[in-house]
Amino acid sequence: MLLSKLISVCLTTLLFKSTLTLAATREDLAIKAQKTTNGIIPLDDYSFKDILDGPRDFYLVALLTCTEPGVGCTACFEFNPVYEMIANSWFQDHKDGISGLDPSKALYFAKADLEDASAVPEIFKFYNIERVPRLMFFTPGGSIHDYNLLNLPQQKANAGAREFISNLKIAVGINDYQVHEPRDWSTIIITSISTFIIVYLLRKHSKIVTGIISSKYIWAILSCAFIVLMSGGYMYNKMRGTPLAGSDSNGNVVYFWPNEFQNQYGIESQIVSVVYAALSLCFLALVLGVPSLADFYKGSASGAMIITVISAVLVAVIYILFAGLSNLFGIKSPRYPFELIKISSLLA
Amino acid sequence: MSEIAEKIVVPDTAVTANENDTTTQKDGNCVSWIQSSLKTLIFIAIIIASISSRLFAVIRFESIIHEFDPWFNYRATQYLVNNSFKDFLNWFDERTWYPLGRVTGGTLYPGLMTTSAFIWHALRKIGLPVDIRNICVLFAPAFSAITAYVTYKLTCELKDEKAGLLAAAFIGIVPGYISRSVAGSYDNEAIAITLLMATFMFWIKGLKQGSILNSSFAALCYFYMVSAWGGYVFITNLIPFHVFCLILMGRYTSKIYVAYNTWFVIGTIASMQIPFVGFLPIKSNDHMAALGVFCLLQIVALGDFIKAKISEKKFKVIMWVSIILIMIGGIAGLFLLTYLGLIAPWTGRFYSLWDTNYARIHIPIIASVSEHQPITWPAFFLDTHFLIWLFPAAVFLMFMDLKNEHVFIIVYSVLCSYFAGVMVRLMLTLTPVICIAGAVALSKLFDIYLDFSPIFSTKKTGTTKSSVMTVLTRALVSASFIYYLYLFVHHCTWVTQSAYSSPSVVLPSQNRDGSMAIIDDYREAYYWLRMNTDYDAKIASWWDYGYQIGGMADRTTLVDNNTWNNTHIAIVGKAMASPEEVSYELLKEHDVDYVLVIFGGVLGFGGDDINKFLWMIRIAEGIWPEEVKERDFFVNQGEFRVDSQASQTMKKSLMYKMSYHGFPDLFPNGQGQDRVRQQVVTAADVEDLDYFDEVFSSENWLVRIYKLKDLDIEGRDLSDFAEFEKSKNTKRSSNKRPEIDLRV
Repeated sequence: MLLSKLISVCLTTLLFKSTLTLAATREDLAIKAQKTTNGIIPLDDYSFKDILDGPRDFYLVALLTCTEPGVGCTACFEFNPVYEMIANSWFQDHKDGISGLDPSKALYFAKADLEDASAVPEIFKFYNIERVPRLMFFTPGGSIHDYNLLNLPQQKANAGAREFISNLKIAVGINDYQVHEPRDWSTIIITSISTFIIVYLLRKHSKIVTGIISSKYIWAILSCAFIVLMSGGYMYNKMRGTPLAGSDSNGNVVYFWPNEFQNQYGIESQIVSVVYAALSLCFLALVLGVPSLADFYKGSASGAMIITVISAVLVAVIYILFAGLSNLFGIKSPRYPFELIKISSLLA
Repeated sequence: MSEIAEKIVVPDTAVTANENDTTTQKDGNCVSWIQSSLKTLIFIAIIIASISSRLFAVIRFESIIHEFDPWFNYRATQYLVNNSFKDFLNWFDERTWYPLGRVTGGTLYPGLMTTSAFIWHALRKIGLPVDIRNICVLFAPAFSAITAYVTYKLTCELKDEKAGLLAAAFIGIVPGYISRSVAGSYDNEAIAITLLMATFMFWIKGLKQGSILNSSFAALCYFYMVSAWGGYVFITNLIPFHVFCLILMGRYTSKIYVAYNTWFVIGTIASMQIPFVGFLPIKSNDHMAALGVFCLLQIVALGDFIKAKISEKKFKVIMWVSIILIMIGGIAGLFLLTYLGLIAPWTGRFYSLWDTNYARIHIPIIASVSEHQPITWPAFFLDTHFLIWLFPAAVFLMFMDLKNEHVFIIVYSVLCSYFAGVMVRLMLTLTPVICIAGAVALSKLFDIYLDFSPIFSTKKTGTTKSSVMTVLTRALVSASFIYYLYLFVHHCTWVTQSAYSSPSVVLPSQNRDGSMAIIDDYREAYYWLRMNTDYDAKIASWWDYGYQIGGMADRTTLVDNNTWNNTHIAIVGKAMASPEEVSYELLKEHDVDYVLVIFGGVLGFGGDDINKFLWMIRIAEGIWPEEVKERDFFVNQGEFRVDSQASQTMKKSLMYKMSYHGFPDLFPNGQGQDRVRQQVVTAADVEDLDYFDEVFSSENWLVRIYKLKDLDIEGRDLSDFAEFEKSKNTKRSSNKRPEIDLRV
């Protein structure tokens, strides 16, 4: 009797000890996750070792981020809501974090946030984190030091969450992972208010509105702007979700993806569109502006001088912009032989 | 070659300028004589330039049909030349899409083939028996000359002959058009752009004059276009849209009524005669805009008539009520008909233009075609050089004039620049309008600045100083733009010869010493098939090579570039993605004798089958999601690897085994360096092929052909048999080793 009691006490202490020293179980994490609103387990100084230590029987994604405004990590601010959406999408369908189709797989999300620069969380020191945001991916079985770093999704906002989730589905091997995008009420409200205002204005000032709608200048500017946007490769950015700019091996910002004819950064189309627009404007100034100026100065001696100077300036600007454009093209296609001038050689 | 083109085209502008001067003289008769002879000269020059700049491919390589689709067109033309036209229309081709076959006569656009067959017959009649291959090779350059003339006519309608000549010169040498019309690129587009321009030219003429004759010509050209290219839908929508805009702008006249109705009625009835098109013009939603505008025009005409008869107040009421009724009725009717299935839903290719993610999600076959990718800005610049920044300015200038024909160019520009941005291949339809608009803008500039008359009439303008200043300004501006024209010619010649003149059947490359080498592996392999395999042998390969195998090797294929049957393509995809024993069974079921794969690892050729492999997997997964899973081919973080870290499924797949079979042995220590993916493949990674025999690898291992082993006569499983043989005999057959010199 006594013996059995002793044994049972020993066993319970052993068990108790094992739960303390060994890894957290699925149940622990599920409880922790359910306590939060969005299903992201906070990694505070006391619990992170318990949560992350192995051997575990679940997958865990941990985000180390920094929302302290003084640090100014824009990527952190951008990724935070995305991460919440990713985690929330999973926990909406899986309260216990276990895949419904394949109960052998479980997935949890955790986060440590450096909110206050004076109190750096232990986990940052533990992993020697120097750059945020960091996405760590813990697979079943490993210890606290066994993790892979994940890349942040390339796309922004909801598209980024979708991209990340589809990658995560592959990495974990689960199929029942739906994306739940939070309904964006603000756009609905803005749309309805603006519709109301537009309709109101239309009724109130129908004359001005028809004047605007039937103005050929407005249509001309809109069409030309659209064409400039399209010929700058805007649709490519939109469809591929290209990053705004890249970086080279030294970590410097690169605006033009060199030697890549089939790829471009977002900023490339912006720069090129501006150049196109400027060139077009100069051309229009030559064709439309200068002749009407000539009419204005007709007969006066200084008029010819002014017109000569203006035309010369326009011609020079067109030449410089065009030279710049060919230079930019030279970056994309290095063997291009017809760069008008090397701007870099002029500056040197 | 480049010098010829320069010399010919640059003086054009100078000559146009002379013409400009001469018009001010009084002797009208003499001037018009000089003008017309100059024009003829300029045209001859433009024609020579546009044809000769398309001959790089023939001169560098040889008179050969390029790429993929042209091989089918060539094969179909051969069939047409050797058989009657009736046979051609009823042609059932049992040597493709085995075992289904293809109703080729009913599923192709016959315009291209009939035209070249017509030329072939006509030349024979006058005693010039030219080989049909040469007609096909030189078809596109010849039609580009006609395009130049038609573009000239079209631009004349917009501005004047000066702009017309510039436009003709631009379209003759602009790379965006050359890309699809070099010698040997015997494709539908070669003739379609000519017809596109002709249709538009006649349409604008008909619209301006309200002429039934010209509109009928437009309809006939439209019919020809329908018979030649699926892109005719562009015209079907653009012309109605133009008319719609004109009506919205309150520019309705009886001329528009006459022109549009003539074009629509004749054009639609004529287009329905093409077997492949059939009843689409009244069923598919692509054509609904034309029908809708046709109805709208009748209503507007009626309204116009009523307006003339009753008071304005009454008319307004009638107008609003009828507009609302018609809109409701029309939309409800459209929905109802689509719902009842009487009219076809939007076709996938068309839909993917509007919802840019549609294709990627729903139709991997369309998304996998590189022509359907969005376009980057360097591509625009490459294809049109300085015209691309002249283009927005030109559209703005069109707005300043804004006659009916200018509205057409504006609508065309705006719509097409969107389409080209979404799909690379539609750059081809954008290029002509860029040339036309650019020419109009440039000729406006030259009208102002290439006029040096003030120097001759100092009395009028006052002081000599100011007139010298004016002339100086004009000289400066014109000189800078003439320099851009000169640069444009250089650019076009460079792009044409470096980017667009490779037949892609024969690959140019450089040896280590810089001398030119030609990689002719494709033809070597196809010729091997032709000579060494049974006439009825069935070849399985990815669909990209179907037309070439049919055309060059003359063997039966499972799938080809006419991607009409997704399931059948998925079968090949599954065979390539599955382990050997599964593939073997699948291929045997389809009577396949040989499997052909393209492998660029030795040569560093990026367009090989391993790089296309993901699409095979995706397409197969679309049909058999249980058996083929894309993620099994990735290693942990969604990486696609081929070296020792490659996933097991990848290594077991037939495509991997066939590509890398014997590859590591080529290198010292068995460390195969894949030049495309920059990864090392070792002998341990590549498992033996038990069910297939390597029968042929081309000189640079670009094409590898495997034969399916016969079923074992003793009924053993082939993998067991191979195991048994291996234990018996350890000697390995030695492979023919390609040179693994560095090639660029």
